[in-house]
Amino acid sequence: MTQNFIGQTMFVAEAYPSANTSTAFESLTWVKVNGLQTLPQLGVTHSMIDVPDLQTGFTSAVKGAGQGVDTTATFREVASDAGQEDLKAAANSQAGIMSIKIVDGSGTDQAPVSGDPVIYAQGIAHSHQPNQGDNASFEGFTISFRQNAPTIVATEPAA
Amino acid sequence: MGNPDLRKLPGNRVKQKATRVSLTNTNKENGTIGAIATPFEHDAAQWLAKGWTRTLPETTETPALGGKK
Repeated sequence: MTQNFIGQTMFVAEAYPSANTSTAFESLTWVKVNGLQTLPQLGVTHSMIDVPDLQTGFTSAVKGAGQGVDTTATFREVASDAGQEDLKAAANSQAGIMSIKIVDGSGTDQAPVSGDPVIYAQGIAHSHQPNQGDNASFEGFTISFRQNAPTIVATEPAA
Repeated sequence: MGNPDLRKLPGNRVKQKATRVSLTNTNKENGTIGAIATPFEHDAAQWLAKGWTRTLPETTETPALGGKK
């Protein structure tokens, strides 16, 4: 059955794993980012290489290189939230190195429990933009994330 | 039934749970300097090769000053 995304939570780590594997990702120190409104859209895009043919007059394609998507996550402002501070610090830093973990947690307050679905990705956090204020908006911000390796789909390991 | 060699380990050894080690990032190409990772001991080599170092235990005792009394 198709499910919605309600209840999913996001964690960040301020480093890359030693390898793009669930075991290595899980070795990082994760901090929950509260105030999540929109998850980043993870994935890859591939370029296509056009191969024209004069006789047929038809240009076919072969698959080119892939690259991670550049996506945006949105948050409402949560004062003194360690995860939001880590996220903003990464986006505002020179390198922006960051790993993210998205969990469909089944524990108390959606805490990750062994066996819960987990998605990992590593990339560059950038473009921290506070919301534009007016009499119909709220305090919050957006962060962009350029994925630098394929997404890893896994489950929360046993403690 | 099954293989009798697999039913009992020599010397009644019990399978040990994999232990984790604490590593600290020292290479900015990995991310923030000082970030902590806790991989399994058997995976530590690949982290150490990328510029992570074993986290030193915190000192809880202050050396006595003034020598012996």
